[in-house]
Amino acid sequence: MTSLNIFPQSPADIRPVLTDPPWARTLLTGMALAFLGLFLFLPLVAVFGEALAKGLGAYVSAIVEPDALAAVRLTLLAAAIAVPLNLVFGVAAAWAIAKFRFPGRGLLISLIELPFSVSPVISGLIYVLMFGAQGWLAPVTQSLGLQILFAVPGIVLATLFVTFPFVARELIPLMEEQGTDEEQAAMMLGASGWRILFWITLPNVRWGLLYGVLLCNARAMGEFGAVSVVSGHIRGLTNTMPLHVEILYNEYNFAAAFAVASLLAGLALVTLAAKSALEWRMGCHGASTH
Amino acid sequence: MIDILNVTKIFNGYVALNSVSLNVKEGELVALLGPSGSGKTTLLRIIAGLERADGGQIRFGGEDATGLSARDRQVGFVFQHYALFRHMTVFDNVAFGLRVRPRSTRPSVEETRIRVMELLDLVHIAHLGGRYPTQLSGGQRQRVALARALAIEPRVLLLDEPFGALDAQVRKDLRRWLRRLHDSLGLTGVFVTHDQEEALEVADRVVVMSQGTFEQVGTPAEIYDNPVSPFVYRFLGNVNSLSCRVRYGRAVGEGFDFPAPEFEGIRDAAGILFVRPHDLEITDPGQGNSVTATVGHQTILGPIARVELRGPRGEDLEVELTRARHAELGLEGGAKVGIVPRRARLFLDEALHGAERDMNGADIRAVS
Amino acid sequence: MSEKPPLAWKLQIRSPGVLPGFGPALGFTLLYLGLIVLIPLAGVFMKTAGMAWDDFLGKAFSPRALAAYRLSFGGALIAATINALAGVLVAWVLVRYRFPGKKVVEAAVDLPFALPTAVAGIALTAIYAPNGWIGSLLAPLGLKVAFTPLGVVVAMVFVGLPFVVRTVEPVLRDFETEVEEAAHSLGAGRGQIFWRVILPGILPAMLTGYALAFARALGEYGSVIFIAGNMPGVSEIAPLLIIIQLEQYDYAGATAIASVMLVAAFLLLILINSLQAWRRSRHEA
Repeated sequence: MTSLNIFPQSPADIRPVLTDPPWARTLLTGMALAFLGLFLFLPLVAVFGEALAKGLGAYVSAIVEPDALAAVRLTLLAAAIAVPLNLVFGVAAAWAIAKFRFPGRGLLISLIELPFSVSPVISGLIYVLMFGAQGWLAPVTQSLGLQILFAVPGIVLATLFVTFPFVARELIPLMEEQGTDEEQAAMMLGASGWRILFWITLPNVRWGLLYGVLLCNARAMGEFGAVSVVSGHIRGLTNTMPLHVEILYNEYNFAAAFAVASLLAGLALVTLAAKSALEWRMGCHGASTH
Repeated sequence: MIDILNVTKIFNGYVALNSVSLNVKEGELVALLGPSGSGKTTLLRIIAGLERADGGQIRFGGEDATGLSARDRQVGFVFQHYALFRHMTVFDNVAFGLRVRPRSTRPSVEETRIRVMELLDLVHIAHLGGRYPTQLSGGQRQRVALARALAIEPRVLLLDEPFGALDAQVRKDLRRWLRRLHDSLGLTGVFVTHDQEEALEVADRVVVMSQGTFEQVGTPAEIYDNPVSPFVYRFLGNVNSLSCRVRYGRAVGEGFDFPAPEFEGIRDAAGILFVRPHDLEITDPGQGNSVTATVGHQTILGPIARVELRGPRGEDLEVELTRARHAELGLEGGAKVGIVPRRARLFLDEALHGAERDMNGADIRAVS
Repeated sequence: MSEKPPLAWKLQIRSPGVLPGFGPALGFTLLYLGLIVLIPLAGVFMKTAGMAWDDFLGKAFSPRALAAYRLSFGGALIAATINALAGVLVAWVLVRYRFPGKKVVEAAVDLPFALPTAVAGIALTAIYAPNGWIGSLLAPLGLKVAFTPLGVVVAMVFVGLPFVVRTVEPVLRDFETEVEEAAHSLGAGRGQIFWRVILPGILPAMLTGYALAFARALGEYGSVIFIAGNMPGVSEIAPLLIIIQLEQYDYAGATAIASVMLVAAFLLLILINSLQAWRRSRHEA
């Protein structure tokens, strides 16, 4: 009977009580897919559609244009600095928080997740208030001849802030779940702290670590609001890819804007694919160890 | 070999270990036996250096090791859930302790391989070297954990509930094997268990622990035959307790009156008579010095028969008989019988008496 | 040990952990957290504290700012509500049914996390503009989405979409099917089972997802500004107003609005944390 239905139940749900009638299954699945289609697939299709609206030639020339390439370079640079720093931070924070019990631990976790709750615009604003013309650190940076705002350092700082929690928040629950038995065993066998970290702890959380890095990188390359506030939008100098998209769009150069946007959308798709693959791996790993 | 001197540990105001002392001799295998929360694992972890004592000293071979990091103690530790490195093969797990040695004392790749293969051979899993821990059975993991701990040539081997996570049958086989291995290697070992059978079977000496203190230390025979306190008595297997009065060297209860010469000086005090189920004999009711009880449920457990009875004050009693004796008696449910202790131990009721627990035990030998 | 700073030393004594490296790891964590997050954030409140009270009120609650809050909070509220309902639906379908392409859909739910907000913004605008794929269908009905508050809500729905799905999905997956079978054997119908057994079970997760989606929509900037039209008082969100003030070098005005938004964000964070604590306590009970 159910084989006639185009939405067969999943094998886990062959228990009759848990089975919805076929019409309900079809209706609910249809509604869910329509919602996701409207809000997820259509925008994605629109990006690539609009990018190629003026033909492949226009697409390629929009990407190899010097300002666009400069934006790509700056985006890669910011990510190349922010991701490793936040990776090191994430590992250190997870080691302290997941492997030890100390007062204020819960508060520390909340503080680490703080940047997620802050509007990206405010994440940029805080550095303007520090390093801007009237900023409280402006005298220091000026006397050192450092240009932070409307320059690469500001962009890196804003990127650091918005991507701050990614690795730590991925690692903390994972490392906590792994417990400290293996580390203690390694210690009993004479391993040093670094040995334990690199031979035991990190290999055990490698997929989670990669997962965190992946999300951190996606956000670092795609950040718009925070970077927009500190960048100053100087073409070829302080424009990241998302900012370059905005400028092209505001100049009504839609095809070029969508061409650059399609690169970022491609990055998002790669990220999602890698993320799914990692989730599958972690799922397998988890299933076999418990 | 191991000296534990007045070791105290306090967790958030709760005394986990209260100034305990013990000397483990070279080549000896000692069991720390007790219920959960008795402090046995804490003591083991303090010996290993995985926990810091709040007071007292740990010495290995006369040297003070109290301040020594776990890393430098050269102690083999087998964790309760084995703590195998799950991303490493069995071979790499066992080799770990050799590979992390400082360069000057680190064996060569070839030496490491030979040593690891020897160890895997020793624990009978030489064919499993390439497997990952998740691909092994519980008993095999236990063997890997042991081989890994032995790889660093430890002065002392510590095992935390070594058979806790295994099936009953594997457990039995493995503990005999561990005992033989221990004898052939001549190691000094301490292991933690909550299973009295395991402690009595495997250990040279047993330390019975309760609430952070040692209740009794002795050989398995001493502990089983002469428990010094009601706690030890109860912890080492099933026991029947009959309340009585102790008067001028006699224990007087419902239907019985036994001599208890050790308590000559006591005029009148409440006492409890402890009798193991296999030390009770069933006779006809009202016959001489016997307790009258009603036969309840009867169970055949392989070679023995267990008879549940209800005592004169409604207390639940249990008697274990041989199958032959059981058949001979031909008991019927509801029947009145007399039960006679062949061997019992009398303790004064501490709640009323307030005396030290280990001061008031004495054997009673009944004349049947 | 004596060379270590007293704080780390004290904590190390208290921590039962025997593993090495606690002091340096915690020290580095606190230093980095302080430099990158806490000190810069404190700057907002320092700046606000330096303002006269009336001045602050005037800037933080000007009519234009009030209209911006109304749109940001109101839009986020509507978007989070839509996401809560649609999120439960999507999670239900993903957990309970099987259909062609399910793996792809499963992965695609996270698209709003991975797609840069600016890209989402221009893509949504292209679709919902009067000449766009959907906008052109709605225009004859007199419905304008892009460049109106409705567009703001659409963008907010997009960015908040994964939250409810991702919080509800695992709870639904771990839901003990025996409980449903028990309810059934006690005579409950399918609808009763959902309302009385399943919904109360996923409610804490749903509320957490709701709060997360709301918080995200409240602070959202990139995807909203392209589709909003940004008419002062009508379709201008609070984060945009901060940027406009900054561009006019009105740091005080920008900071005043930012501090209001930050306080709201902190309150939400506390709410989310207590929701999660509630979930855990229910889970363990």
